[in-house]
Amino acid sequence: MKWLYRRVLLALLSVFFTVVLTFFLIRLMPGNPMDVYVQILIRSGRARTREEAIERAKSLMPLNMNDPLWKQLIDYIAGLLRGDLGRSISSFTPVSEIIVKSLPWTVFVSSIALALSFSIGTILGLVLAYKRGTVFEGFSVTVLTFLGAIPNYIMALILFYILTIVYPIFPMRGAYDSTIAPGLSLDFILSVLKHAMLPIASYVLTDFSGWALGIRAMATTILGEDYVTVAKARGLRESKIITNYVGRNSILPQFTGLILSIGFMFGGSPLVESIFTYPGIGRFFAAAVSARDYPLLQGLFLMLSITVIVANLIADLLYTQIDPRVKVGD
Amino acid sequence: MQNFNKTKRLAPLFILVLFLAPLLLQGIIGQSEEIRRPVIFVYSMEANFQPEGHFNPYSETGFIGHAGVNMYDQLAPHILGTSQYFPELATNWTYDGDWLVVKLRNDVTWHDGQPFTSKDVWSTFMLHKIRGYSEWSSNVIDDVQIVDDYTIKFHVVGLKDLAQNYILSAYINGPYHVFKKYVDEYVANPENAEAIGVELNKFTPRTVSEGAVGTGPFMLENMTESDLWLKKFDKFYAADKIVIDYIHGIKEPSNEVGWGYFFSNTADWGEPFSPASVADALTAQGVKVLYAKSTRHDFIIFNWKRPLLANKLFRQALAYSINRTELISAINYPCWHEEKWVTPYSDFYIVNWLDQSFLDSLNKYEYNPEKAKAIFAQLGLTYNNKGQLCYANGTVITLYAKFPAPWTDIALLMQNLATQLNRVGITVIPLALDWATVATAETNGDFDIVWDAIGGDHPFLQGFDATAGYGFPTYASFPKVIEWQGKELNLTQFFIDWGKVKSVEEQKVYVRELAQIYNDYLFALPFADVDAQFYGSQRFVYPPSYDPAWMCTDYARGIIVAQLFFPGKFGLNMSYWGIKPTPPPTTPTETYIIAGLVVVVIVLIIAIFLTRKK
Amino acid sequence: MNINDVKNSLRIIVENKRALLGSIILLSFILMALLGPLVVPLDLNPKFDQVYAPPSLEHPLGCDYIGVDILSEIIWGSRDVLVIVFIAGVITVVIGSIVGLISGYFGGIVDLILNTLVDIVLTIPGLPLVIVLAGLIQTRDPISIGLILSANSWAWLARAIRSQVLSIRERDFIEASRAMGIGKLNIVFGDVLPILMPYIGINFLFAVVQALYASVALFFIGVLPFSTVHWGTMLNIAMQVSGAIFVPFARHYVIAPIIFIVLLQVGLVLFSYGIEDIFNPRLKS
Repeated sequence: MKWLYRRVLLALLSVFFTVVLTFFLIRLMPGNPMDVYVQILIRSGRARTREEAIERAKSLMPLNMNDPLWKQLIDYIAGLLRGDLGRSISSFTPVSEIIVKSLPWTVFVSSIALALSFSIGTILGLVLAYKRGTVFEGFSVTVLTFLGAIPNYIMALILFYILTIVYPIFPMRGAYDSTIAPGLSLDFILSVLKHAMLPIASYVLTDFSGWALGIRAMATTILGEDYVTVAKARGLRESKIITNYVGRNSILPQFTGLILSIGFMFGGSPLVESIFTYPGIGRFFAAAVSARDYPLLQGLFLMLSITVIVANLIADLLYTQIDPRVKVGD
Repeated sequence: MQNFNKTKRLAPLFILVLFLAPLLLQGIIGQSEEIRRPVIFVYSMEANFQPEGHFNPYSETGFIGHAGVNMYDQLAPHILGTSQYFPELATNWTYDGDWLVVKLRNDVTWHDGQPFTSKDVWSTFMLHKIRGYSEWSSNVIDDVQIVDDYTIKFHVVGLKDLAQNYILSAYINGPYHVFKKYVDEYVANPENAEAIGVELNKFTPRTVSEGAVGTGPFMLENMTESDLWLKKFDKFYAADKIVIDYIHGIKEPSNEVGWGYFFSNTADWGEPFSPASVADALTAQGVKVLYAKSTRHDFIIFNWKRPLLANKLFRQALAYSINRTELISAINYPCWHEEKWVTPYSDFYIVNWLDQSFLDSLNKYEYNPEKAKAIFAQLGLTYNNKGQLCYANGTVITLYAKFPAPWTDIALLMQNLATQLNRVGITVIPLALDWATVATAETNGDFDIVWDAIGGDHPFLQGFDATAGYGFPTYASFPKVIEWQGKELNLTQFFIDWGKVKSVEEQKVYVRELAQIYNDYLFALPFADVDAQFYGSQRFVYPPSYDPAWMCTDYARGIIVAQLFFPGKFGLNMSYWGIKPTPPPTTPTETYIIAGLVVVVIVLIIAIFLTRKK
Repeated sequence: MNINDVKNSLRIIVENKRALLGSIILLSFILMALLGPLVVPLDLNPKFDQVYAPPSLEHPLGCDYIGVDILSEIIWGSRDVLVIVFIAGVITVVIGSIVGLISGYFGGIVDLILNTLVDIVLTIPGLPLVIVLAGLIQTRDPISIGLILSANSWAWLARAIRSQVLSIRERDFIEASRAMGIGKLNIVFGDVLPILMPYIGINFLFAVVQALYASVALFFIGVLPFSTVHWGTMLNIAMQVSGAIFVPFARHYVIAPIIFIVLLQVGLVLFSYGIEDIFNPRLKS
């Protein structure tokens, strides 16, 4: 078990290191939140003079804005240990509040999308490996390639256009119908599901081909192995070969990929969420970078790094459980 | 078994009846009168990425946008193009020495039922003071005093034109009973302004009872991340003139999404940016693309701190090298118009304030690359064998044009600018940067060329912004003292003198002089007027009219929606505005009964068919 | 690797029809990038009477928002685009594979260090990293941009390959090689790597396409200089200015860059069939 403790300790160190690195990285980017906000005020006409804009912008800035960087870093880490992530500069809301309010929506959509892409993709990929050489396989691979080449935000736009405008089947925007009060009513739950379908579809339709092609490539490799040749020589049906040998062996790297994807799932896609006006956390990433909203950026990246590092840790753990031949660490 | 088969056959029949029963019932119970469905006006509003938002106009994070003009009233909105103001909450305003005395309506209520008094106007201006709004921080006014419940006076120490504009156009959105805590604290301890400002940022009322109130015709009903609902305020002082029941604001996160709302007739009003030919195709869909005059005036800004650009002759040469028609066409939006006379004023003001003969006397800087090249030669600049313009020592002249990448129209503009200046040998490199980088570059004077635009309710304000540098970030550091007609002219003093003048004729003298100064000095190169472009649905038809009451100010935003309710507020003839919301079609009772009977007959036939013995 | 291996590989590719098609497509792209600009002139001067002209004989792909021929823009843009994404793809795959292979096979302290490094790189936010690198390196050179683009993406591949290596190294024939005394590096690159080649091949094409779309985002940050011939810029302008799919008359301006991006991916996939065959001749049945 010693290696487990080592891995966990390393994970914690990685998180800490990432936090510090991120802290300096975002402040190295040219531009600063004060200039951004002043410009917004002037451009939109809400402030008539630069003096006014600067005065008003100051009230949004954190109090330790002008302290030396190392002191700001210490303040931030001290805050982290207390559970205080600071306040977003653009909205003056506590960062933890923003994350708590928007993250569930993104996780809701992303997890369903990931589960669907993975299962559909894996099954399809195995089928394609089985039917290697047929016209069906060639055709499918072409279609899959095509689908995989479409960026998810363009797919989102296409779905938005066809399924909410041309044929108004799905709702256009929001996480739920704004005339229904949130609660445990059937109306509300149905509304939530209906509003989530198109965002989920945008991810699934563009992602599943990646999984399919990936496992097909792995399966193809394994099909060339000696023990498979032996199995075929022994007269085993190919479908059995696929499920028992190929399936089980190629599922492992797929599974690792899945766990890693879970880590990144918490980020969401800013563009897809924007097209459907979906109140997830993705839309905050791009906007926070653009506004140089340091506290919000740090909070978002902290959350993302924790989930990715934890996902990696879990992937390693599960790997040793699933494949007894593997010994992680020496 | 026999029974089961029979049940199996009858089952579809029963299901059919179950579905049709409500229809039958409705036919039987009947509808005795037309049901009046509420009139809902849907508009596409600018989205920001913040959480659902709130209604504290004095928090720096509550960008209320268009909803504000429906929820709040001004003292007296300014009518564009004139020196007139339209009475709204203020009924009367006169100068008593240095004091502007304003009389208020006495029949106004806040959305939560509290009566409106002059204390609310005072508290609003106190909040302005805490926030450092321009009328205070630029020393335009220095005191506000309550005279009685419906009279208030302002002490004007700065420019009178500015003062009147600031004071009367103010939205009265800081009611005393909501902001009491902050205002009282400020009066007691004015040195705590900054701390109070930070506290104000934390106040986020999201319902009427929490303090999200105004005096306007619409009040807050509900708000989510993506939608805003406003409901007609029954106690509005001109409620009987308002025909709309609900305003539904839908957030538009991007142009593409907004067009989706446009194409699907989801929104009754919004601001697309689509090329001209689309408008024709779309009138057929029940939507009109409309243009309204705005005072927006766009400039190409040169960085005066750079030696070459600080030279007036070089700037003039650049003006000759740029074909403004081509610039506008590169952007290809119909609401962009070319600047003809090269003055700091938009065409809007030129029509009213300057006459044709004067305009003809100005230098139009017509496209003339040969003239430009002559000036380059005069300045000692030469061409190398690659055709690039160089300093005398052979260094190639390179200018960096920075702009925010997400603004595609500006990107296209800069690209075309680079292409054009290339033709006279100047190497211009357009740099698409993100917002923050551009903002910092502009502030620090780290650029050669940038783009900017100003609006302005009055030629004074436009001239002021374009010259004294308030509209443009102060990085440009336009000189405050210049040589003009053989003498030294102090621009700051120039505007102070202008501000003291009252009559329109006297003002015109200043307007002309500034036009001439700008035309010669080219602090920046004005190149376009940009109008407001928006779409409106046929349910709420807008006459594309340049009637003053129709005009929009500055950046032509939610004001347009306010204009819709002007007639409601001031008793103008509603049909003049073409506001005839079409009543929804209702199905009369007889149709239901007949439909019900027909269905019953069909069902009976099917039942007989299904249950007959084979 | 000797001349016979190369000859064999070429033969395998030619025999596999799909791989052949893929190679032809890729070669065409490369030729287009190298020779195209020499053959096809690019006239960026606006011709306002041709704005959004539909495809015709004279302008096979139509014209864009200022009347410039789209095909010539695509051809001139392909140079920068292809260099950037290929560099990014190659670096991602090479670094990712090497790190994954070594960390997975060698284990121990090497694995620990490399793994932690990979973890950290995986979690460093990509967008700010790219912005900062771009600001620090200050370049307009496509090769450097490709380098910047791959700063983050190699880590994912390293992780995935590491986990596969972990299971592969316990296989019998690897054990056998070890028993025979063949050096570790030899085993890693001689025995383990060929097994993973198809997987790496597929990932190469994913890396390329990902870099392609990342460059679209980079235009917005300012890493890529504004250039109307870059496919990413074309896509963005088309979406923002003409409204992409909503507006019928400008659809060809959006579709053109997407078609070429898809063609590129199709070419790579088909070519990967050839890679599979080269490394796994036992698959030919």
